[in-house]
Amino acid sequence: MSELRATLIKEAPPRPRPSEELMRPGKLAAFQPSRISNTRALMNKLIRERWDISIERFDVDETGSGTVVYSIKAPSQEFSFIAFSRPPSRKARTGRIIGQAWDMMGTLNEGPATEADIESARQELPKLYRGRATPNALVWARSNRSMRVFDQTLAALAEGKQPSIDDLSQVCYLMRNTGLDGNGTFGTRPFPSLGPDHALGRPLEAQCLTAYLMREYSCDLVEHLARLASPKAVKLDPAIRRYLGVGNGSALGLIFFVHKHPQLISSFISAREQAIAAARGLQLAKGDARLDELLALIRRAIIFRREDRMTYETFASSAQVADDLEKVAAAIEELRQTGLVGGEPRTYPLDAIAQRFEAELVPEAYETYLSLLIELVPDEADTLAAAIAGPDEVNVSPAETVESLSTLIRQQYQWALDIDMSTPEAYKYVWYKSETAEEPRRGAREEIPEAIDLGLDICGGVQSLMADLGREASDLSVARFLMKYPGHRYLVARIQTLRDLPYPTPIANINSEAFIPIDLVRLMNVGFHGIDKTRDFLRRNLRGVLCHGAPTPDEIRAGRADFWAYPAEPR
Amino acid sequence: MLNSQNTEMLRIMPREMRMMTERILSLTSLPKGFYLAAQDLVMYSQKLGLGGFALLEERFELLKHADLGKISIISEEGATLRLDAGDQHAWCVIPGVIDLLGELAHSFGAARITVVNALDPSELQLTSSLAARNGIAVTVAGSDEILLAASAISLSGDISQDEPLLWELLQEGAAIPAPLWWRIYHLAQKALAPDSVVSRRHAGPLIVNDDGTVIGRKDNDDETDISFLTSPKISGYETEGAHS
Repeated sequence: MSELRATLIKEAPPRPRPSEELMRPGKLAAFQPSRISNTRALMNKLIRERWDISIERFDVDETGSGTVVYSIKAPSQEFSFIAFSRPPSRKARTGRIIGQAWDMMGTLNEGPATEADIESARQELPKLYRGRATPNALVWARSNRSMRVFDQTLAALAEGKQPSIDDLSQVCYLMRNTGLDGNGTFGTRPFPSLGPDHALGRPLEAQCLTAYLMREYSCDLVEHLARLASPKAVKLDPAIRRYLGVGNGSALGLIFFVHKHPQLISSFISAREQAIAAARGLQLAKGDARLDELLALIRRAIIFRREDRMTYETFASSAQVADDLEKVAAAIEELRQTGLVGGEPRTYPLDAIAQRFEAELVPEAYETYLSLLIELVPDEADTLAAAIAGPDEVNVSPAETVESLSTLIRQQYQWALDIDMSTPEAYKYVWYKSETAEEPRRGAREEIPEAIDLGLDICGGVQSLMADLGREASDLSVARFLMKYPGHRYLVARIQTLRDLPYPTPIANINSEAFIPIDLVRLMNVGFHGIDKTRDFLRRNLRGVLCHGAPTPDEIRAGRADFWAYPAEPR
Repeated sequence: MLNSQNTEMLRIMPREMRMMTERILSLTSLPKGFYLAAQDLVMYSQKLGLGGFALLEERFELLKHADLGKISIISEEGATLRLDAGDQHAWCVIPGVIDLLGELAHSFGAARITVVNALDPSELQLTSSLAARNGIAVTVAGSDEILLAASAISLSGDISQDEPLLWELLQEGAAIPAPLWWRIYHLAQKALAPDSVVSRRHAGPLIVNDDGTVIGRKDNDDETDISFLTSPKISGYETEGAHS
């Protein structure tokens, strides 16, 4: 007994993981969707508050051309989604932003849709970069059909049958998002201006709601076209509708996002880590009902992975993830039945299981376990998620001395000072945008010598800054230093503004051969937004599924409270 | 929306103004580390009814040759300082002036800086709005020689109180004549790389070689029109009023 007490006393409460461990791109890439992720947090809010989403208008002809309006009622605010359906065209079609064939263009607006709103959107949306949103517009959106799966589903429904699950499971959506632009783009409302009392006031909530509405639109459209095609047409089975998400393509632009919004990134990762630490710190005894819940979640994730048909190039296969989660499930089962972890009593058993498996599991499986743990602290997690925020502005602290700034840099950016920037590989790539649709691109410098480098060269910048700081008197103020070295202004402001944040900057030289862009794209897609089944292409593009398993509007209206993510195939 | 001269006015939001400012300044001699931190200057100028984007367009050729090294401190005594702008544009001077006001206010509780030899000196008026985020209240007086006086203030953390002009910009944007904005837009486009078949290979889930072969898996569900990716020129979206 005294031995047991000694063991229990020695264990320190779990804490958020340290930045130097977590901010490596390979580590960030392994983050999995969680209750903190944007789409999941938003969907849970919609369910909790029982939002009312309904079709107000669906004037689409048999060619697929027409106008659709949705009404979205939050408890204290109303929104509208105005969409224009177009017959699909194969000309100039691509999932990239440079594409010029879109099957749907729409706008999420504040307030009920007026005829003036609809006509303005009809005129302006097709102009894209030359278009202007109305003052009540939050997001402009575009999506394309997954031609094969959409057509198969349409044909099946028209024949009075449900679509083949084997066909649907190849992609898990009918339409794919090809653009969600807001936060001031095209004149849409900036998110910081919405304020905390706004129904979509959290960062990116408006985009996530629009993604969900695109899912609904894709299902409503295929049902509508089937009805027009045949009198014996049937609707989608609600279980299939729930299973279908909306596709999502993401790529290099998210690396710019990560660097442009360091305070938001840090806030998100910090919220996630705090929730994980709180869950790891639960003291659960044999037979605790929360272990039943956790076991059920892990088993649900295992089935989801076993049924996953996607091919991944650089990430662990779903079969591997499922195999590893079986090991975690066995450990939870042991804890549930005996109260022990590996035969030992532990103060923080969930933390002990995490420690035991961290090196053994593929990273995706380990992070799945951590993400699922968050479900055990729902109130704390929802509070943390609701507080995720971060202004974009960075400011100079002019009275700080050269000595103080130098010390700060050595403490927080030693990794950047240690990277060898003198090799040819260190600056192999340039990040730029093309004049066509402003598409973010990354290419070898010799292939695009005229490009202006838009990437943030943290490593080269910090090394150059430290060299110049070393040339000046230690008591010189930053104000005087920047008079002499104005080219360091942005980096100095960034370093000073972020000094108290735990996770603002990935530890990487994004210009180098060694940097894998898909790692940070995946952080944003999977961890931040909560996208499932993210297939990777050429180490730079992802195709995934948003709102996979999200409840239908009827279920949201009814306040359906069960865990909806990781849906099993609806057979 | 038309103004009193019957010119169409556009409501432009901060994100767009910052982006165009950054792109245009990237075409000048100003260092990247400077213009990345100077995105709000023209936006504030526009909102305050100063020179704004019309002035940016007018001074663009001059800014191409900007030299921040010509800005220097002429004299200094306690909390008072005299700064020679070295015939540089006021926008090039403002960030450093805010720094110096902040440093002196930190040391002495208040600060006074006189700026001489600045081009478009009236633009220094925007300092009072821009400096708020740095925790100093600034008054601006004078026409050729500009006197800026600062005192330390505490910030609440609420942007609507700390930076009312930025809050107004986030709420309403700035009204800009349509012809001017589209000229600015096209000028900023020059900072983007020309599109080409080679450049198109630097993004996307697959790469199309010159011989038409494709690198990468095709299960991306894009139904990509390969001829589109290999066409010598991709036309833009600008089908309506693109060059108005």
